[in-house]
This record gives sequence, C-alpha cells and structure tokens, in this order.
Amino acid sequence: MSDALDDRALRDRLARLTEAVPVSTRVPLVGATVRPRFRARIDLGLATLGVLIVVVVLAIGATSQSPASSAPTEKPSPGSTFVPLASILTWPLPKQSEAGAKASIARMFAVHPRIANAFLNGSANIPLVELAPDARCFSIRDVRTYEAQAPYCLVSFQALRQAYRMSGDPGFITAAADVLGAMRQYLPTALFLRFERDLQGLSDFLESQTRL
Amino acid sequence: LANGYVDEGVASAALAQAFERHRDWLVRRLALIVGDVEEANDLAQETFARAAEHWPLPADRDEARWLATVGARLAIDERRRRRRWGFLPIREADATWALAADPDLWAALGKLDRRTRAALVMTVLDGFTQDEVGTALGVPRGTVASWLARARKSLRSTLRDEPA
Repeated sequence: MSDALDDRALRDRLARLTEAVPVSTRVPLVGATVRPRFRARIDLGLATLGVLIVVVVLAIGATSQSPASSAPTEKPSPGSTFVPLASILTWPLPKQSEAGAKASIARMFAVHPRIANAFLNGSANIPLVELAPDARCFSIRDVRTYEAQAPYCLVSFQALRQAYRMSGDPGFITAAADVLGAMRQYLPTALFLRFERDLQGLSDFLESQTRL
Repeated sequence: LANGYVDEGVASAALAQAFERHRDWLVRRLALIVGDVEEANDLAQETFARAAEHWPLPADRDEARWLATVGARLAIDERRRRRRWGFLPIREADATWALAADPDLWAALGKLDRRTRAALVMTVLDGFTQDEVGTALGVPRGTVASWLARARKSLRSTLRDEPA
C-alpha cells in the first residue's frame, strides 16, 4: 500500500469522522460527567492549597506581631458578601439603552467587586485565581473595551463550570450570570450563540438547584 | 483591540462573519484532536477569543489556517496545562458519535497523542505541509515527519481494512 493510497483512504475516513462530530448540541452547565476520581483530585488539590495558605498566613502572623497587625483580619468566606442580584435586576435582562446598560454594569460591579476584578483585570486578584493561578475564572478578553463600544467578551464555559465547582457558591455564579447578561448587550450576536446557550444553561441549572 | 479600531463596526461584522464561517469546522477538527466535543467547543471559543485579540488579521494571513493553527496549539497546551495542574478536571470523552461513525479509526486515533493527532489532521485534512506544521507547533520538520511516520504505521492496519 503506497503512502498516496494511505493518505487518500485516511483523508476520506477522517473527513467522514469529522462530519460525524455533533457540533450543535447544547452543552449542560454542570455536567454529570465529573468522575469521582477527578473530583477527588480537585478536593485533594484544594486541600493542599488550603494547608499551604494556612501555613503562609501563620508564618506572616508570627513575623508581624505589632498591635495593629494583630487585629482580626479575617476575610469573609467566598460568596458571603454576595447580595442576590435578583433583588436588584431581573434576569434575563431586558434590552436597555446603552446608558442604562452601562449603569447596570457599574452597579453590579459595585455590588460584586470580586467579579468586577475578574472582568477588569483579566481574572486577576480574585480568590479563585489565587487558589489556582492557571485556572482562570473566566476567559474574558478586553472587557474594558465596552467603554470604547468595541467589546469582545468571550466566556469559557468550561472555566465557568470550574469556577462554580471550586467556589461551591451558587451566589457567585448567579452574580456572574447577571454581569454577563448585562455585558451581552455589547456583544456581537454571532459570536455569542454559545455564550447565550451558556447563560441559558446557568439559568436552568440554578432553577434545578432551587427546586431541590 | 480597543485602541486599534478605526471602524469597529466593520471589524466586528467581519469577525462575526468569520465566526459563522469557521466555527463549526473548527470544532469538528478540534474534536478529532482532543477526542471530546465539549472540550473542542471550549477550545474553539478560546481560539476565537485569540482571534478577537488579533483582529483584523493581517491581510496575508488565511483565516482558516490561522484558526486551525491556534486551535491546535491550544488543544496541545490545554492537555499540558491540565497535567501540570493535576487537580483540574479532565473530562472523560463521550465519543458515541465517533464510535457510531468509525470505531476502528477512532480506536486507532486514540492510540496517538494529541500532538500527533494534530499533525495528522493538519496535514491530511487541512493540507498543511510538514514545514508548516512544524512552524505552527514549534517543532522541527523532522519531528513532525517522525510523528506522522509513527501515526501512519499505527493506522496502517486500520486502513488495510478499508473496503474497496
């Protein structure tokens, strides 16, 4: 069998296999496909990081014994500062004027500084990222350009699910959905077919959690 | 992106059109490389995020080739990233679609690593030369040739079963 024949046969079969890929299926928000062993790996990783953080905090505490620094500096647990945005905005958001949408975003950023950081700093300086610096909470690009009317905000659905799993905080993801819902008004529609599906997935998931 | 736009409406529309034109095709290619449609969807999303950062692409760049190259790089890097951060979930592939379409070829592809699958898809399906694949994936041409030779050897038995 010559290489040419190999290539032709392989090309045909690869092409047929490619055509079989189901590209338009809806992706669930939190799939039931997280295998126990991976969940265990996540837990183990988080536990290890938690121990490291405690050790670092204790070490810093031991080296700074001034009265000022010995004051309680306990951080709120993830999600505890979140205010249910349902009380502020309806979601999905109605179509708003440009000024109205900007005001909504500003208001949400004020209420949810952690998510605001994720947007404005490219996911820097938020607890989830500190826990796993290579696991970006959101893959969001150039969100600041919403000011320049040229917004490109692409959300990695995988990262969103991961953020939820790692935070274990439904409030976090609700708030994210609110912020993303507002941002959507600036986004090119075609680019965000998937994004819209993700938001719908969020909505369905949260609704199912509420019913439980 | 924010500073580079003179006519952002035109650029935005062009990017949206590119998305419409190439998205499904890109997901299909990436699914073959990573073996998982959901991951391929995310990688395609990330690829378009990169495209948005560099949009508009230079006039001498072919959109499809640019996307295929970036997508393949991301597919390989994602696996490296997940290996490095062992606690990150790696989804088990749900490949019923592949098993229904061509289980033998799917099984044979499964024996190859991602880089080799990427090189195979890029050369056989997309018409990249070995030099171009080497440049795209950051390896010498000889390495690509070696990957492809191994891939062909591994797949040869499957190809022999192809009905005439």
